[in-house]
Amino acid sequence: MIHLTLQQLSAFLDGELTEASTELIRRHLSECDACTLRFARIEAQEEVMVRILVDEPGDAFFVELSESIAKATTGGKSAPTAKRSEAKKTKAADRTAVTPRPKPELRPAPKPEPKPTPKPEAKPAVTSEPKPAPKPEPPPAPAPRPAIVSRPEPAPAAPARPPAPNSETRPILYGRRVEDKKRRAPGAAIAWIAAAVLCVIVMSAAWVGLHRGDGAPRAVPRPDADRAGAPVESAPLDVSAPPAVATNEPTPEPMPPVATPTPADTHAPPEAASQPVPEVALDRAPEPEPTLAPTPAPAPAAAPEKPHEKPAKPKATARADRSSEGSLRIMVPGRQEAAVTPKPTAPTPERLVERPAQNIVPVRTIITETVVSPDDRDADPPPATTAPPARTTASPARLIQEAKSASLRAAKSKDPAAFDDAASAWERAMPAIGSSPEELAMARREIAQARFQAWAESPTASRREAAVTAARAYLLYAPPGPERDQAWTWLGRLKH
Amino acid sequence: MNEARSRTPWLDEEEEAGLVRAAKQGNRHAFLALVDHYHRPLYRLAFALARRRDDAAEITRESFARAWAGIHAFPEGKRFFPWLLRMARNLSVAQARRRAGEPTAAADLSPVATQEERDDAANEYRILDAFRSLRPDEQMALALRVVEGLRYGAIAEWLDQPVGVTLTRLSTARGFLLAKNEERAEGGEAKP
Repeated sequence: MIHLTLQQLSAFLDGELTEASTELIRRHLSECDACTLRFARIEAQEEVMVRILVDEPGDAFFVELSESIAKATTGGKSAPTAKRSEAKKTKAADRTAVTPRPKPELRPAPKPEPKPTPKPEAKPAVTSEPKPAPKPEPPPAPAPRPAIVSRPEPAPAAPARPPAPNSETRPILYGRRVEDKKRRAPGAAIAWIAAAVLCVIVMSAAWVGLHRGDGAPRAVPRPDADRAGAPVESAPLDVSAPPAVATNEPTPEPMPPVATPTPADTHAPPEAASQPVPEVALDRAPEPEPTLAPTPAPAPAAAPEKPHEKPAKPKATARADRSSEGSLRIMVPGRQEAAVTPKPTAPTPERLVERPAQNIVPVRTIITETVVSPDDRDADPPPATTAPPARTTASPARLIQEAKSASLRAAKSKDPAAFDDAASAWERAMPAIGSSPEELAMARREIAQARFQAWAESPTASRREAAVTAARAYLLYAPPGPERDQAWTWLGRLKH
Repeated sequence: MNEARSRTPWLDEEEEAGLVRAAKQGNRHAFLALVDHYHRPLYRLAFALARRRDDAAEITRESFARAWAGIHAFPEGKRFFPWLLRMARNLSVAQARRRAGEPTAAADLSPVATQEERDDAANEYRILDAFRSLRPDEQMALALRVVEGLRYGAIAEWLDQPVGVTLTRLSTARGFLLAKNEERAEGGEAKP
């Protein structure tokens, strides 16, 4: 069984999944004890974190804090506007200090002719300053900074340098650095882009040359005529030359691995191990997969057509995107599960039920023929052969009725074995229960209650474990309020 | 499943933009209006990151002081709180560096505490200690989710990152805490 990923459990805990994904995860949790326990641990950890990370010190504290913030924003610090004007001056001073060539806008405003004379431009603005300024006094003697001297507006007590490189000047210096970077960036970026493009061209040329081999004209692989009767060894070569080469695609998508029905391909190659297993996609109804359900021998020509019809199958990468309402959808579980269990597991009864009827038999046939080893077949019989008949022969209403009567019998007799029977009857009836959360919650409650009462009547380790599992599974469905509290009470009593 | 419960009524975007504009022009009252609205959530997040009341208050105070000092550099068209949050995050990282050698504060247990209370305290201690070793961005995402109860979209907006990154950070952080806690619980260490 493929377990849920942390991302799925986390998003499920936060209620960030779509309804369909939530329902599928609920179904999985109702079947998988390992994921249920993991989810319960995450939920318990979340409660602890709420306890230890949240601090509400009270209104008095916040009033005091607000006052201290108000003091901190006034005490010893100037208003931002004053800083801003000062910063502007500093910026101008800095700019002229870096580039001592005087600019026209730095010249005094009353100057009539805007065109700069070339000779004074070669020198700092100090020399050109007395010309426009009608002031009789000379510029300040000790190392005059051009911008400050030539600044026309009467700056009140403008210092020759900014007082200290503190937070006031930091944005300006930072801005200057950014400008410098922007100035330098294009050259380096163009060089890198050119190198990357060159690499791609060289690699694609080498790749095309390698696969052309004898220089034969490149032809788009014809699906029917060329490959229908082709030997098995030539198939990977054809498959590895997709039409993406003609479009100069640097990383061509690998073809689906089980495209040919030959026995050699039924052993999953290393690439196939990282390919998505269709059952992994929990939030989509499993589509009839062309790579898993070809007709084995009679129609070999039909199989090669599939990769060209669907060249890019969904990758097995965990992907979350936003639906139209802004909520998340987990499309595919994480990679590690797919990598750890590369072979498709035997389909669970739900999955078989959800498939279209015409696909059930071929898929199961292919899976048992190609993936399950003889040892596995001996070790555990495939559940698909046993579970569906039970589901199809017994009517849902009858199963539910049996479970209800078993519960009544147990309640009357107070016998632990009767409670066990009732729980088992409800578990048998679970597949017959509808998909609405209320019905599932009812069934889970019956199971949890029966398991708990069986343990309460005759406590054993196995009954305790079963009761804990059932109570935790019920917690997933229990609505907030007394019913959920009841489940927690059961769990609390079972733990101690 | 947790229901999303945002504890902070965020300021209307237009109103906030007006206050920021006025503050940029030197209106201190406008800035104090922003302080009045945002100092509680900022303190709560700072407490989640620093886990000490005095440190959290200091981080909050210093964040607002820096915001006031640099309000003229605040970019137009951006929300104010994410900007403030980044300052608080940086300050909390600096604070955590200063307190790197100090052990995690253990819960105060009475001498007559039951075994169950001791186990709970040990569990809390382990989780808190593991939380300290999370990366700052993961701490922040988890704090916004746990403390403020924000949805993923809002967390992504406040942290200025894609929603997928938020999802990954939250799940990674939770998985790390879970693994760390179990590992240490099995090892029998971290008793407060």
